Amino acid sequence: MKRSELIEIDETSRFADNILNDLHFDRIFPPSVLKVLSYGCCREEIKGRRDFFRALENPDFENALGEAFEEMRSFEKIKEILKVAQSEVRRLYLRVNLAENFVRLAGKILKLEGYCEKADNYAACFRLTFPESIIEQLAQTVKRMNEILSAASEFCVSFRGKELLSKKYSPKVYYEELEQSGKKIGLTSPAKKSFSSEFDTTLSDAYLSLFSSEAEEVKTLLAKSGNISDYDFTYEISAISFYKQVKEFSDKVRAAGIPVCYPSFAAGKSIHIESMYDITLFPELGNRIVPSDAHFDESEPFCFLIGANGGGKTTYLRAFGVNMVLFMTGCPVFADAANIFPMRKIFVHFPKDERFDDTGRYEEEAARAGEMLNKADSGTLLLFNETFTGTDEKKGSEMTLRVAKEVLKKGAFGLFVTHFLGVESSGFPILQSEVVSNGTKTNKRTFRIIRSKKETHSYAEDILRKYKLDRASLTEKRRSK
Amino acid sequence: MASILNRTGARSGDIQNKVLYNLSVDKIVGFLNLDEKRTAKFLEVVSRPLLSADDIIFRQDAISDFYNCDGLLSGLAGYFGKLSQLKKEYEFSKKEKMKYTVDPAVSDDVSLNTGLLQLDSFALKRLLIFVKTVYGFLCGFDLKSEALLNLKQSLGIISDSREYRTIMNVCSEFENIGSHSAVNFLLNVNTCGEITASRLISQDSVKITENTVKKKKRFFSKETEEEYPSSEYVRANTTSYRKTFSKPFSELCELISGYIAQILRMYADISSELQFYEVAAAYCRVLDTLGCGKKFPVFNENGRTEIKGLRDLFLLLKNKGGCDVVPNDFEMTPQTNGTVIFGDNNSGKTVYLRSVGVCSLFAQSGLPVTADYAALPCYRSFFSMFSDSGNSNSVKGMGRFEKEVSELSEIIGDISENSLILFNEFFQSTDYNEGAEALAVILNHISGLRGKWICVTHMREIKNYLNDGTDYLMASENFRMIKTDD
Repeated sequence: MKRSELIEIDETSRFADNILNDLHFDRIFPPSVLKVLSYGCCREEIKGRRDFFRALENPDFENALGEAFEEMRSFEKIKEILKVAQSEVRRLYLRVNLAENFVRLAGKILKLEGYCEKADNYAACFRLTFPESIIEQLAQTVKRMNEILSAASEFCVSFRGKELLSKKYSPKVYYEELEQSGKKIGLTSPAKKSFSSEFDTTLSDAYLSLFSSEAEEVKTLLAKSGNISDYDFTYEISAISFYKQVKEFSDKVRAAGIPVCYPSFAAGKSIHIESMYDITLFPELGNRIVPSDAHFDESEPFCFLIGANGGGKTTYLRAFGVNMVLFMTGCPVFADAANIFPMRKIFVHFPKDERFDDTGRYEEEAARAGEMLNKADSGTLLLFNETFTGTDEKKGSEMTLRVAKEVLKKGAFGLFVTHFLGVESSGFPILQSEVVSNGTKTNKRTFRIIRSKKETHSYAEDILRKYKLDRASLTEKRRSK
Repeated sequence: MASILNRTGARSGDIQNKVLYNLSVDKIVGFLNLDEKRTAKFLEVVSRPLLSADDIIFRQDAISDFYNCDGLLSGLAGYFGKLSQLKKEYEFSKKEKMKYTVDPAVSDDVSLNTGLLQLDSFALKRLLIFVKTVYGFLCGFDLKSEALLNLKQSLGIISDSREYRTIMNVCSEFENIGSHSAVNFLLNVNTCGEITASRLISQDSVKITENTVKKKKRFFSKETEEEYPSSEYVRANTTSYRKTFSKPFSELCELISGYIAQILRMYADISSELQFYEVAAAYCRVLDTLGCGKKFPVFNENGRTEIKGLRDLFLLLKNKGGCDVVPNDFEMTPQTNGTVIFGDNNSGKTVYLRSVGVCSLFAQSGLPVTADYAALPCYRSFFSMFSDSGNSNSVKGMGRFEKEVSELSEIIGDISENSLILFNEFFQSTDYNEGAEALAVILNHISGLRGKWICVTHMREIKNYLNDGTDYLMASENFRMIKTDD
């Protein structure tokens, strides 16, 4: 995507290709949005986009932006048609239509002022290029051109051995005559179907010759109007489309009862997200997604996440990654609240499903992890999911710990989901999936991720409950006595 | 849609399937010796009794007009028969023309669309001529009925209007249009420079001249200059304009065929409605020939039934004369729940029941009845419960009594206020005392619903179980029905 006043893209901060796919962004956003999400932003751009999203919550701005967006699309559509228009007549009409559209669009763009910095800047830049006086002058020209073309919009063709084109001559139109007569005697006519057909070169030439003076005048006026078709709104269309689609999704999520927030910037290097959601599960689970917290700071910049299968470890990793990417791209995040230091880079390491013909899984994963660590710096977040499963536990644990130490050495932040139990005694903070006793032999997974207290959990509550000696049972017994 | 059978918004009641059969209405119509189609139409109309006096009078008046105006019915039947023929011919020709195309609306075949336009224009012209002819025909009669005056007015709206001439003229022009005819089009350009409307315009709309100003000589005056619009010759490749120039034809076809459909639909039912009147006219004529009195009944809203000198229609037509058919009176006051008819075998009880039933049914169909005088309520629904031999349509394992109970159970939910239910020797295939009590319970239930009933029975015990408000008639030896308190 090229530069736009509404979205500034820093080509140097492009995320690795796999990230958006591994985090399942494609489940919630179309490719056009993913394109924007592929680039991280600087603090100023995050702030600018965040303000734009906030401004969009004002229905007046949303409507004004929607109207400008439609006019921009219409402008670009006319340009596209103009490119392939075959007849001179069509080109003439389309150029006038384009100018008319531009006049309307200019009005809509100026209406975007007063809601947020990005929109103000955009309108101001537009005004600089096209002052209101020029737009007013153009509007007058368009009005005149429309008058001319309107007078030339009806003509007759006669087939009498040789075809003859003539200007409109108060003709008796059979259809209308029949329609009106029928109506007077109580007969109804069918709804007319739309119809359109292109001029071919011969008819076009004849038309231009028939309406030569009109065509010349319009051409002169168009020449005076400048080359409007050079103006390009495609970047703005993509940018507005991005804002609209993210907003639309956020609204849908919010309506389902899931919180949406704009994180504040953390003063120091830390990440605190309260009740964050893996929103990529929204199409599947709706508001049944279980939220969890994420807390990282310079004292604990790296965590291992362990726990039983199906306990929500990968979901947590994804929730963290997704919300971090959203924050880094200036979008609202799906959490109760968040205070985040703006990281510049993010790397995600998920196992690949493809075949490894030349190398083994372990080698491929080790190479990828190494590459990530080489590129990482103190402003980087690294996420690993079940890395090094292609080897034995001893070697896997060793490698996992080596990665963790390297992350710390780089001053980066990281989260590593693993099954290797060796990491538990490594001294790194451990997160684990929460399990709650439900009074039966099998304990219930809550899918929440909590900080492990490194205590042996005997599930004594389960046993107490089984013999009705748990608190609730005892209270009940007391009451009954 | 024009109708000479039903007033706008006319409502009709229900009759149980078996009523016409039990009252021998099919046989009665059979005596009139009319074809199957007319008989079926007549039975269809009789099976939908009208519910309001105004709707009935609408039909009575139409019958009177047809009865009083010689040649009216046969003339109209002839015309509307031709309309059906015209419709068939038009549909056939259109089908033939369209044999090789899927949808003329999307076809860009100019010659096909030109052909269809010719066909549609010709058909519309014929239809308009038909409308004018029938209107003229009706103008020749002193019509009194709302039905026929409405029809005349509806035809007049089209044929008396200025638009009639306009449409006829346009159709005449199109009728002669050919694929090589000189045709003119008016084209419209939209703001995107596309041709968005293409309409056929009259021949004289475009003046062919290479000069924009043409000198014209006028007698006794100087040469004048007449302004023509400027024009330009174009050697367009017409094949690339097939869509543009076939569109006006297909649009006109759609418009004209729409008009044809509307006019045909407007008068679609008249031909079949006339069939009812043809039977009604035959019925009146036969009664005249037999010398039997016929009267249009009057209707009341208080539920009173009063019929004087009623003769059984079936017997009249069967015996071809009125001499042997004994006239009887029948009366039910608004307070009467129902009437029980006792009598010996072959004393005329069933004939009497039938004559009252047919009289009510015919009366609500707008027909005259074979009585000296009849004042009737409008029944909402008719039911007949006639005892069965037990052989026909008997459900396996079900006895005659059970079958009757089963039949009754099927209709009991449909009985309501203003229903008329005719019982003939019902529930007599069981112990009489039990049958009588069971039947009385049913009759009292119907009375409770404010339905009216007439019951022919041998079960004298029924008197012990029936509520007050029941009339009792006794059939005498000479087929006279005599009111009795005994």
